Amino acid sequence: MTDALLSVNDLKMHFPIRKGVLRRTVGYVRAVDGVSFDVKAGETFGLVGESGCGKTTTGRSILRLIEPSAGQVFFNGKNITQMSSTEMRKIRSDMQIVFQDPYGSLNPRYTVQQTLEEPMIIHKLYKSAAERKKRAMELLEVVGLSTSRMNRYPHEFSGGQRQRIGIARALAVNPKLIIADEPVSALDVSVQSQVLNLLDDLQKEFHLTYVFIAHDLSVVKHISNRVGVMYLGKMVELAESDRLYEKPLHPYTQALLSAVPIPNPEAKRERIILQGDLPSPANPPSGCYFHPRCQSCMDICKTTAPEWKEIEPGHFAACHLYN
Amino acid sequence: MSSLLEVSSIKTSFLTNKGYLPAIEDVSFTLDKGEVLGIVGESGCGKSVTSLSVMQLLSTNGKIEKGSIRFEGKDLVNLSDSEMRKIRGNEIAMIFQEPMTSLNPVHKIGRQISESLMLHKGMNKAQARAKAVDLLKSVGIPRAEQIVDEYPHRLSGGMRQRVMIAIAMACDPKLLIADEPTTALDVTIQAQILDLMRKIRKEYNMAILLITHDLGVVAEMCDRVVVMYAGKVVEQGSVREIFRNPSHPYTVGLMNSIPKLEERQARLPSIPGNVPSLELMPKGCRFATRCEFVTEKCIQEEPTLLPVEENHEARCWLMKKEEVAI
Repeated sequence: MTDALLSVNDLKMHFPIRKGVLRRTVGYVRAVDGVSFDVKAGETFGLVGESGCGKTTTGRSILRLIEPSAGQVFFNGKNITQMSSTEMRKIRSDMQIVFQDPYGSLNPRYTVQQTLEEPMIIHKLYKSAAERKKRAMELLEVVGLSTSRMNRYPHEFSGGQRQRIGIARALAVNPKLIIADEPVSALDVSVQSQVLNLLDDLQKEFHLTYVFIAHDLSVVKHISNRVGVMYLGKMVELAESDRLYEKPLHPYTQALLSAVPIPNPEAKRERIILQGDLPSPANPPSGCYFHPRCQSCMDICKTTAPEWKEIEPGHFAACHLYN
Repeated sequence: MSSLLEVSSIKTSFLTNKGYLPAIEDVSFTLDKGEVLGIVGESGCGKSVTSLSVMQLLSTNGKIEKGSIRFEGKDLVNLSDSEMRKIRGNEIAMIFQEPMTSLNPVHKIGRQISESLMLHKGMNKAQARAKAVDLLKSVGIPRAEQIVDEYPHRLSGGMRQRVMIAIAMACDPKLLIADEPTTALDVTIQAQILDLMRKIRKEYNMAILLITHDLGVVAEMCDRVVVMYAGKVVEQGSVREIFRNPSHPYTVGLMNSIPKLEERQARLPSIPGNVPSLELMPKGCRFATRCEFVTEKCIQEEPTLLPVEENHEARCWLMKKEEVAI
């Protein structure tokens, strides 16, 4: 707990469902339903799961870009869920986010220079325009773009280059923590590996801590030290990334891993094909949320939610099989 | 020739404000009965344009300038619209990447499946509906009798893709063109859909032209692969050959840049730079700007597809043995 830069404790995000003329709340979408994890300084923590499992909502509610319904987030030992908006604004320079869509997350009417200088102006980091410009040029060099293109607009760049601009913008305020929400999902594989390598280099150079959110298991495994697997708003398993891939404990993790197509036609392996779709988070199943699709479902799974337990040192899972 | 589909050196161009620019050039491949051929490449390499050319579904600013597309010996390029309509959806069917937008939101599922049955098979409404229910069952949709009267928005992404497959299967096509059929889906759902496609192929002995950017999907599904880069075929061969002995530097780079699940790599090998844009295509080899083995000859002169082994060729000067001395 002491060496954790970020500590998330029982985070919940329930979106109300409103209906009728009076907009009465008739239920909740439990997008994130009690997620806890610690992120150590300097490590990369991966969050994986399929669409709708709440990984993006987790990322955003950590930064309080959406206000979580319950739970605490500690950053550097301080509870940021209690902070006023002025205090929060100060601490935001330490926590930045890189978004998935390099097309939608840059202002099309800002030049690269304006995009990079905006956070410096908001956080009053440099006094003069010349200093800001110097810093913007530095940032571009750091992410591997030519400074001669500083006055260009986002549409003049390719997807990979735009994602580099997004990363440079996040770095502009010297953050400690970067939440990267599917930063490479929109990119082609050959460009994806360039951006992953860049993130790796930047982490070493600036001692960054990452929370890396993605649906691509091989990418998450490549970049993360530890990985948390989410299903329907809950964390189902958390372990060191090598350990998780070698010996997944939760049946969902096992199915997820076995579903990834391996680029080797001669590889033979057992495939677990899950039946059905992800249930709606507005109306989750009783007991363990995964039980309707689980191959090892027992009677207890239908009625009682499994406890989050440390099954072997550093390897957590929520599953009745390990009770 | 007994090939089901024979595409020979087609060139498809699109009208832009800089005049006609070729999106694909000199693309040739064959597809036998019951075979699964994969076309892989990154965005903008022309894989979708290739499939749309085969289907004759190019937008009005696109045209096939050269080459022929023979389906069972008939050249599709010269067919009239009404002749093409008899083939499309009947003998060649297509499924698209985006199951959310390729279904019509204002028509019930049943009606969308029945449409081609009534058009091509001359069924009446009741027959078509009964067949639609059967088809929904065969693609693994539960409660098919009820789903047939639902609208597409009531279904999840995976279910919609199943409906798309049911529509494609309606007239027992000989060829199914699947353009990124699982890209919009989650991995566990992707596994279900790939499994379904494998089953259908076995059952109906249907040929599949599978367009994808995912080498993993190719390795699992295909018999042969065509790798495309910047509008050209850069390598083709059997799946085993290509994965065992990738020969074009682009194919090698592509395979290396995927993070592997089974092993830990300190650093991912990557291909530097970006795909050149259509109007700024290099004169020589199109990959020359990003290739680590580039020579003067590559910049000056474009290579042809050169044999690597039997049934395996690559568009690279390195394949000419005397050129290998670098």
